[in-house]
Amino acid sequence: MKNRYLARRPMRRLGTFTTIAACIVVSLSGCDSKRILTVTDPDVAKPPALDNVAALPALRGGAVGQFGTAFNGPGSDEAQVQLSGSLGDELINTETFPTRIEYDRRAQTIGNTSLVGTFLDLNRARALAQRAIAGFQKFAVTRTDSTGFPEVLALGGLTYVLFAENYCGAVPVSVANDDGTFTFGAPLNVNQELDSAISKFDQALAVPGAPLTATFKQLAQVGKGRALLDKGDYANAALAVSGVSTTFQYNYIHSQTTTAQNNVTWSLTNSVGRFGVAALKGGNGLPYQTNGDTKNANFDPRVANTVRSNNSGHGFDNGVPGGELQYIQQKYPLRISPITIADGVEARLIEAEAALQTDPSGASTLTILNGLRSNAALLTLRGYAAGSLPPLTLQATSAAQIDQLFKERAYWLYLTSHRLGDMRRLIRQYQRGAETVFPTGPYFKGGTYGTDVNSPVPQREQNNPNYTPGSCKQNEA
Amino acid sequence: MTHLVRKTLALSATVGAMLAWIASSASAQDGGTVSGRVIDATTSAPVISAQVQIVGTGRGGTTADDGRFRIANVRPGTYQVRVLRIGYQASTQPVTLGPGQAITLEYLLAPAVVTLDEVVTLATGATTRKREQGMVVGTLAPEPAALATAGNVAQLLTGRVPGVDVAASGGTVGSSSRVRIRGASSLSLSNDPLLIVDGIRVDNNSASTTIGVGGQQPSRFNDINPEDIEKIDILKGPAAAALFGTAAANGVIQITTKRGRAGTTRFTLFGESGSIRNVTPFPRNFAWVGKTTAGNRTTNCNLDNQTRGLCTANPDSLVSFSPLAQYSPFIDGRRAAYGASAVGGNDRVSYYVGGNYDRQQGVVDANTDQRAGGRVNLTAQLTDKWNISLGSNYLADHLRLPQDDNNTLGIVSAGMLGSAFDDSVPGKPCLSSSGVLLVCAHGYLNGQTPQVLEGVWFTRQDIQRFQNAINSNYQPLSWLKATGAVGLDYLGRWDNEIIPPASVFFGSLPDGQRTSNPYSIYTYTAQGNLSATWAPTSTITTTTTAGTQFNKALVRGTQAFGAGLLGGTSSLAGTTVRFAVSEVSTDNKTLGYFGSEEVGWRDRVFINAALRNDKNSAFGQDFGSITYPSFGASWVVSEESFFPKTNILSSLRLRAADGKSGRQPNFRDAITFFNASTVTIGATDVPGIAIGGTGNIALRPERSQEVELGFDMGLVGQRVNFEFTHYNKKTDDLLIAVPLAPSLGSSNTQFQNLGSVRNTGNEISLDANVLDTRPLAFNFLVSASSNNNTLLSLGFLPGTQTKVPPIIVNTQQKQVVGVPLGSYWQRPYTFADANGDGIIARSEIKLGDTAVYLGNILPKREYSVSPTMTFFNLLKVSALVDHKGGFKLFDNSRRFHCSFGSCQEAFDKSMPLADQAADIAIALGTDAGYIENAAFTKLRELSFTLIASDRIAHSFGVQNLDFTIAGRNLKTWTDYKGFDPETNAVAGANFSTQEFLTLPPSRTWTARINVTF
Repeated sequence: MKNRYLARRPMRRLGTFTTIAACIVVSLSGCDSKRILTVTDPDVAKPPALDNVAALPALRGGAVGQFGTAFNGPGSDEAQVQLSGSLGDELINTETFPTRIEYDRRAQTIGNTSLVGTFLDLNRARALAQRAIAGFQKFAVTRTDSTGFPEVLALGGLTYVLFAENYCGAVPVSVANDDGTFTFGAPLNVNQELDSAISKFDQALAVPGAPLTATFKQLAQVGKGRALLDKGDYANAALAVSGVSTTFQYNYIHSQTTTAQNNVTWSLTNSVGRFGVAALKGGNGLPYQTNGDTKNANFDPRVANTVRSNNSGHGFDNGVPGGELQYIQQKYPLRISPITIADGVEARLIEAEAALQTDPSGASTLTILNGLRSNAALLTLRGYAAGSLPPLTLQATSAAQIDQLFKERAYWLYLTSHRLGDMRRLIRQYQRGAETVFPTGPYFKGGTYGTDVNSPVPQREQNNPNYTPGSCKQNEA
Repeated sequence: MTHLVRKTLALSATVGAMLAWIASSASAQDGGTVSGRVIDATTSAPVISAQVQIVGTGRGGTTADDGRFRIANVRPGTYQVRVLRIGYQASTQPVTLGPGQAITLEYLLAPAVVTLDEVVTLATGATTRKREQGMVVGTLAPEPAALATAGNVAQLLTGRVPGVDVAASGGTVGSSSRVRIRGASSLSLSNDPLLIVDGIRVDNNSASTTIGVGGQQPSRFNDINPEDIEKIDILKGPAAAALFGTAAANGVIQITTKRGRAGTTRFTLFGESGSIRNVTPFPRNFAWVGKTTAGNRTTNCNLDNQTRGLCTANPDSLVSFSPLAQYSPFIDGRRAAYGASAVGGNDRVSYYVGGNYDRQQGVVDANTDQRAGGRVNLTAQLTDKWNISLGSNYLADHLRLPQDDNNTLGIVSAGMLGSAFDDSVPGKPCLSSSGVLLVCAHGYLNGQTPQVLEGVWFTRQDIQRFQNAINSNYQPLSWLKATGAVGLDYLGRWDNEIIPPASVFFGSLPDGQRTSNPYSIYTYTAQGNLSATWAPTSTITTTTTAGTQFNKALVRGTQAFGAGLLGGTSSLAGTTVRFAVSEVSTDNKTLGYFGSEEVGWRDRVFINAALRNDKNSAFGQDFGSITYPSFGASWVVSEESFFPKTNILSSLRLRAADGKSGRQPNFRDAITFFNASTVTIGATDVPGIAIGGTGNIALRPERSQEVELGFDMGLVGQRVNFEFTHYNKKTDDLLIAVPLAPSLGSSNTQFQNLGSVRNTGNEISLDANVLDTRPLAFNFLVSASSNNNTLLSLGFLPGTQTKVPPIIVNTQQKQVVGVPLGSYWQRPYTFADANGDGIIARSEIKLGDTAVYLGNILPKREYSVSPTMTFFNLLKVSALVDHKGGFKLFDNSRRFHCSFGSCQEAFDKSMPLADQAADIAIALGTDAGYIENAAFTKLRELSFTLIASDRIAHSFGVQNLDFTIAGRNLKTWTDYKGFDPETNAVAGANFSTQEFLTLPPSRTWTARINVTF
C-alpha cells in the first residue's frame, strides 16, 4: 500500500524536492562564498605592505638583521664566522654532529644539511639587502628617508665578499619574485662576485649628502678594500681604505632582547660546547690555544682562550674520541658581545699588505703592523693591556714576512670570517700549496683531513636550472 | 576560556531545558505508539541497546535493560519496524498503525557475527546499514575489558581494525601515537585521519604542543574519553569518505558517543587501579683506560683506536657502568581511574551523563597526566516530525612531560651518554675540580642526575576542552527529511615551562627561564542537508540527498618567553632578558556542497553515487573549486533465489566503491609573506623584516582516488563473518614542499602540486563464534592487512624539464621515486675479519659509494588475533596478539651510544662482528648498521574478567557486576636490537622515525570493577 502510494507520486515528489533543494541552493549561492572564505592573517607582512616609504626603516632593519644572522648566527645555528673558522684553522669541532664534523675535516659533501642553512642565510642577507636597496631607490626622497641607504648597499656588497671568500667560485644569484615565480641566475666565479661587491660599495660611496655618514662611508671603504685585496689589486685596495680611522669599527650589535640576536660564536663555543679554539690544526694551523697562560709563548690577548670550566673541561662530545679538552674563546665572553664586521685595523692591514708589494723589504709593512700593536687608543678600544702586544721584528725572508703579515691578520681579525679567505689567498695570490696552508694528515675524530679549501654550493642549488652541477670546485682557492 | 565555558554551559542548559519542555508538551499530540521487547532467541535474555528503526521515517529508539522499547506519537501509516544489534541478525516486522493505536511487537534475535545489517554513519550524518554501501567500514564498540587495557583511544584502536596502523611512540604517558589508515599518501601535509565526534569535526593534531621536550608530543586524539564511546566507525579512504570532501583523504574516524535510552535510569560506576612499569634493560656504558701515543691517559682506548695505533690499552682496564641501573631514575608508575554514568529517559527525552577522573603516573617522576571530564548527551523527540540531540563534553587535562629522546638533558640520554665511571665514592662527598661541594652526578651526562633535573624543571600542558554538538532531524513529509548539525570544538591549551635559575647547568639554562604559550583553538562545523526517499516501484527504493557543509579551523595563540629569571619567581613577570613574544593566528575555512543518489532494488542490490564540491580559503587565488565524485555498489547475492542455500556459505555480499577526496594546503602555503624580526641598530631595537614564505597562487588540493573491491561472507550458519577488501588508492597533485635553490634567498621550500603516490593492499577481517555453549564459549577475531606504498613521481621543477630531486627528510630518510614514502637510505657496507683477530678494523670494512634503499618506515603487513573464551558466563579470558612486519626502524639509541664512545661493541671484542662493524661504519660515514628490521609480534593485551551471575549481582543490590584484570605490552618477540620496535622519538612527525634515546613502552597491569544498578 505504501509503495503504491509512493509510486503514484514520484514526479510530484521529485518536483517538490527539487524545488526545495533549488531554493536552498539559490539562497546559499546568494551568499558570497568569497566573503565566507575570507580569512584574516595579522601575523605577517605581505609584499604590498612593504612597497611604500614608511616601510624603509623595516627594510633596512631586515637587511641589517639578516646580515647579522648570516654572519654570526641566529640563535644556535652556525654562520659564516664559524664556517670560516672551522674549515680554516681557528676552530676545532668539539661535538658529535657529523655535518659540522664534515667541514671541520675539510671533507664536505654537497648534501650536508648544515651547510644549506649557512649558505641560505647568506643568500637571504643578499636578497634582503637588495630588497632594501630597491626600496630606497624607489621611495627615498628626503634625507631622512635615505637614512641607512649606504649601509644596506655596503652590507649587500659584503655578502658578495663573503661568497667569494668562503665558497667555491660558482655561486649563482637568483631572485624570488613576489608573485611566487623565480628568476634563476647562473653561477658567478670569484672575480664576478667581487666585482658585484665593488659595484655595491661604489654605489654606497656615491650616495649624496648626510646619509653617507662617516661610519657608513668607512664601512664601504673597508669593504671595497677587502674586495680589491681578494682580487689581488693591492694598490687600489690600499687606496680604497685610505683615510679610514684606525679606531673605526662597524659592529653588529648582539643583544639579549631576542634569542635570535645572540652572539652565536659565544653560544656555540662557551655555552653549548660545539666548537673549541684550535691549536696547530692539522699541522699547519696557528697556535691559538694558550689556556689564558700569559707566560705561554703563544699567548696573545687577541685570541685569548681558556679550558672549559665545567663538564671536566670537555665540549659537547664529552671528550670523545681522545679525551680532548675544549678551549673556549674569550673574544666574545658574553652572548651580547658585539662582533666587528669591518674596522680600521683591517684598513691598516690592507695597507700593510699593499706595502709589501711596493716595499719588498718588508719594513713599511712592519711599521704599519707595529703601529697597530702600539696604538694606545686601539688597545684601549679592544680592551688589551698596554704593552701586551710587543713590537714585531723584521723577518728575513719574503715568505716569513708574508707569514708574519697573515698571522697578524689572523690574530687581529680572529673569528670575524676573514681567515678562510686569507688562507685561500695564500694559495691563490702567494702560490702556497694547499697542503702547507690548510690542516692536513690524520683527523682526530677519525679518517684524514680532506682537500676542501672552500665550502661547496649545496646540492639543493641543483634545483636552479641555470646552475651547473660540477661547476663548484671545492679544492680551488 | 572560563567565560566561554560558562556561557556555553548556560546556553546548553537553556537549550536542554527547552528541549525537555517542548518534548513533554509535544507528547500530548495525536499519534500511535509502537512498543515491544527484543530478546535473545537462544538464551531468552533481553537484548540491551538494540536499535529499533521505523524504516524510512528517522523515528526509532534503543532497547532498555529489560529489552523493551517504546516509540510514541508515530504518525498513522504502514511501516517496517527493524531491529538491529551488533552480534545478532537483523529482524524486521511490518506494522500498520492507526490514529492513537498502540502496537506491541516482540523480536527474537538470533546471535550472528555477520554484520551486513550493522548500522554505520555517513558523512551526511545519516545512518545506514552496511549492506546499502559499497565500501567497507571498520567498526569497533569498546568493551569493558578493552577499556581496562587501553589507556586512551589510540590504544583502543591498536590491532583491532584491518588497515588501521597505530604506532605507539614509547612509554611516556600522554604522548601521541602515529595513526595511519591504509598507509601514508602525502609528503608534506598531515597524514592523520579526520576525526569526527557525533557529526562534528574535532581537532586531531598529533603534535599538539609548542614546547619541545626532545621528541614526545601530546595528541588531541587521546582527549576523547574511551568510556564515552558507543561505537567507532572508520571510513578508510576516499572510496568511503568522498562526501567529507577536502580533508578526508586520510580516512575518517567517526566516533559516536553513548546515548540515552528509554527506561529506568541505570547508573554505571567503574574504578580502575594499576601499575605502569619500565621493563626494558638499558645497556651499560663502557670505557677502556689506556695511554695515547703522546703518553696521556685516555679512557677511550677503544678497539678502533687500538687498531689504529692511537692508544695502548692498560690490561684489565675495561670498565663498565650503568647510571640508569645503578642510580635508576625509574619508579613504579601508577594508574587510577574512576567514573560514573547514568543512562535513562522516556520515549520523548533520553539522556546519557558521564563523568570520570583519571590519573597516570609514568615511570619517571616528571611524567604525570591527570584528567577530569564529563559528558552530557540529551536526545529529544520534540514532535513526531522533529528530533534533536545535544551533546556537550568537557575535559580538563594536566600533563607533565619529561625531558627525553633527542635531548642532551633527557633521562635516557643522560644515562646512556654518560660516564662509564661512577663519580661517587661511598663516604666521600662529590667535589668539583675547584673543590666546591656538588651533588654527585653518578655518571650522568652534564653533571646532574635526572632526579635532580626532574625536581626543578617542569614542562606542562594544561588543557581545557569543550565540545558541543547539536544534531537535528526534521521530517516535514513522510518522504522528506532535513538534517542539520552544528558544533564547536573549543580547545584551550596552555603549554608552559619553568626552569628556575641556577638549577639546570647547561648552555643558557642556569639563567632560568619561563615559557608561557596559551592557545585557543576552535573547530566549527555547520551542516545541513535534505533527503528524499521514495519508491518508484514496489522493488525499488531511492534516496536523494543534497546539502552543504561549512568548516572552520581557527587558531589564536600567544607565545611568550623570557630568561634571566629572578629567584623566587616562576612567571614571565620574573624574567629579565631574552624576551620573545609572538602571536600565532591561523584560519582555514571550507565551504562544500554535496548531492547523492542511492538506489536500492529488493533490499539486496544498492547503487549509490555522490558529488561534493569544495572551496577552501587555503587554495591559491588562481584556483576555484574542486569536485569529488564517488560511486558504490553492493549486492547481497546470497539473498537471490538462484543462490544455493547452504549452511556453510550462509550469506555473501559483493561490493565495490570508487571515490575521490582531498587535502587542502596549509594556511599561508599559497601566499608570499615576511615575518617580523628585532634588530639592534645603534643602541636601539628596531623592527625589521625576515624571510617568511614563498607562496604559490595556483595551489590546489591534493586529490586521492581510491577503488575498493571486496566481499563479505557469512559462514557456518552466520557463526563466522569473513570480510575481504582490496584497495587501490592513488594520490595526485601531491602538495610537495619543493626545496628551493638557496640562491633565491627565499624560504626553504615552496609548495607545488607535483607528483603522485600509490597505496594498494588487502584487508581481511574474520570473526568466528567457534563455540557457544554455557560451559564454554570461544570466539576469535582475526584482522589482517597489507599495504604497499610507492612514490610514483615527484614531478618536475617549476618551469623546467628537470625532475624534482629526492626530498630529504633527515640524514637517514628521504623521499625517492619508486620506493615507499619516508624510506631509509644510507651507504651500504660489507665487513670481514680478514686477520681473524676478532676485531673489525676500519680497513676491514668496505663502504659502498652511494646511498641505497634500506627499508620503509610503515609496516607492509599487519595481523592480529584476538581470542576470547568464556567459561560458564562467569569468566571471560581474552587476549590480543599483534604482529607487524615489513618495516625498518633506525636505532639511533644504539648508534648514538656508540658514536658517544660508550657502547660495548666499541670496546669488547667478544661482541658480534656485525655489531662492531656497525659501530666502525659510523666513523666511515654510514648509519646503515643501525637501520634494523623492526618486525615484531606482541602479546599486546591479556585480560581476565569475572562476571557476577545475576544472583550474585542482585545479592549486592546491583544489576551487573564484573571485575577485570588486564595487562598490556606483556611480551615482544623481535630481532630488533634497540629498546623496542614500537618507539619513535618524533611520533608527531609525518615521516621522521627513529628510536633516539626514547623511553620505551611500559608494561601495565590494571584491575577494574564495573557496577551497574
